[in-house]
Amino acid sequence: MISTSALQVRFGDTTALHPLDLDLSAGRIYGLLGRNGAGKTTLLSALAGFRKPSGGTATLAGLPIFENLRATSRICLIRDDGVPGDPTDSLRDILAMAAILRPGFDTRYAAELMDRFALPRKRTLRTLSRGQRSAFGIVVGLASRADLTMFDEAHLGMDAPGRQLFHDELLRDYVAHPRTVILSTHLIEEQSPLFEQVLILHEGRLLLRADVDELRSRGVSVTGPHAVVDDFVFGLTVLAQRQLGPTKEVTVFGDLDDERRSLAGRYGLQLGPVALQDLFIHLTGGAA
Amino acid sequence: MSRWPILRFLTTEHLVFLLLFLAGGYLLAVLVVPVFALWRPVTLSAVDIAGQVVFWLAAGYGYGAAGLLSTVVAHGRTRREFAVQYPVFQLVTAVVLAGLITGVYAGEAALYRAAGWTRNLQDQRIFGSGDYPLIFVAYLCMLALCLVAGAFTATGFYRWESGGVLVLLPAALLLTGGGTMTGFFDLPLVDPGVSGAPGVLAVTAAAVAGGAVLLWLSVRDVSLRTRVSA
Repeated sequence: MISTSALQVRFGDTTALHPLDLDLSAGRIYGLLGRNGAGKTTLLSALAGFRKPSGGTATLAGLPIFENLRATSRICLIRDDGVPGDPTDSLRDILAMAAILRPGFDTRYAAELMDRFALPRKRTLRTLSRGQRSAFGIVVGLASRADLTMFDEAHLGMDAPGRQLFHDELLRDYVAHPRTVILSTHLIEEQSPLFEQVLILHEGRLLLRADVDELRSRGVSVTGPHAVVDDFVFGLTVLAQRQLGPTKEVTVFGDLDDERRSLAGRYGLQLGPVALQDLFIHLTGGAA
Repeated sequence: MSRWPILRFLTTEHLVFLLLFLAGGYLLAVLVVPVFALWRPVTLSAVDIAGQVVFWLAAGYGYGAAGLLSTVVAHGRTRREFAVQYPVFQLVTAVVLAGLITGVYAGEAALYRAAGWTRNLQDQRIFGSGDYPLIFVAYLCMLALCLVAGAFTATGFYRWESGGVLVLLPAALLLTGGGTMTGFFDLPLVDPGVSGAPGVLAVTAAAVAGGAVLLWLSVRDVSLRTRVSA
C-alpha cells in the first residue's frame, strides 16, 4: 500500500528525516509516535505529497506520490496547523470545495459529522475556537474517505468528549469503509486502543515498529528487593529504574521467557505491565 | 474523476462572489452620484473613477493565489493542475468582469443622459465614453495583467520567502506598464508604445503568458508550509 525507499527530507543542512525504508500494508490503523522534532510531520507531509522528498521515493499502491494525481487524490492529511480551507471561508463553503476537489468526498457523511460535532456551518473558519477548528478538520478528514487518511495531532484543543467522539467515529467509519489510517499523536495512552501497529520515530529515524500487543508484552516492570532485582535483570535491556529504600523497580524491554518468569516467582519478584506511554518515554531517551 | 475541478470550484464560487461584489460596488458608486449632484454639478463618470479601485482590487485578489494553492494541494490536487487551471480561471474572470464593467459603463451613460449630467472620463483613458469595444478590451487587459501579477508575486513569496522580493520587479513592470498601456495610469517615463485594441491585446497576451510561466516556476515543486516541530 504505502512504501518508502530511502525516503529522506532535508531542510538546508538539517536532516529532518534520514533515509527511511517502510512498507505499510493497507487496511490498518497505525500510530505514529515520536517526540517533538522527531520528524513525524515531515514524514506525513512527504507521504501526502505536501513536500517533495530530498531523496528516495514514496509510493501509494506502487504509484509515486509527489505530483501524481492518481495517488494524491487518494490521500488526505489533516494537520494540526490548518484545516484545508481559507480562514475567511465559511465551513459550508469549505465543504462545498472539498466535494468538488475530492473525488471520494461523502457530503452526506460530512453533514452528519457536522451535526455530531455541533459545528456551525455559516461561521468562518477563523471565528472558530481551536477545538472547533480541529473538529472541523476531522470532519473533512473522515468524510474525504481517502484510501490513506492521516491525522497529525488533529485533535488539538478538543475536549475529552470531542476526542472520544473522534475515536468512535474513526472506528465506526473505518469498519464501514476500510482504509489505511495513520494517527500521529502525543496522547499515546488515549489513542493507543485505536492502533494496530505503532511506529516510533526518533531524531528522524525509525526507532521501532511493532504491533501494539507485541509491544506491550515486551515491556515488563520488575519490582522487589534491590539486590535480587539487579541479579534478575542482569543481561536484559533496562529502560529505567527507580529505588525507594530497599525496594527497586526496573523497567525492562524484551521478551521474558517462561523460565525467567518462573524464576521471578521463586525470587518473590513482582512482574507487571508497562504502559505504552512509559515504554515510549523510556525508548526515546527518558523524561526530559 | 471530474475534469478541471479547480477551475470548476473557482468559477462556481469565487467568480460568482467577485461578480456580486463588483456589481454591488458599482451600484453603490452610481447611487452616490445623485446625492453628490445635490451640492455640485456632476461632470465625471463615477464608474470610471471606480475603475482605479478595481485595478488594485484585482492585484490584491490575485495575491490570494498562494493560499488557494496550499488549499487545493491539501485537498489532493497537484501543483500542475493549479498552474494550468488557475490562469484559465483568471482569464475567464477577466472576460466576465470586463463584460460586466462595460455594461455598467453603458448603464451609467443612459443614467447621465436621462439626468442631463455631463460625463467625462479620466484623461489617461485610452477609450472614449461611448467606445464600448475598447472599454471592454482595456478592462479585460488590465484585469488579466493585475490578476496574474498578483498571483505570481504571492506564489513567489510563498516559495522563496524573502527571496521572493525579486518577483516584485516583473510584477512592477506588469502593473506600471500594463496600467499605462490600458489607460489606468499616466506615469512619467513609462511609455509602452502600444495603442489600439489589437496591439494592447497582443502585448497583454504575451505579458500574461510570461506571468503564467513565473507562476509555474514558483509553484511546480513548492512545499506546503508547515509547523515543523513534530
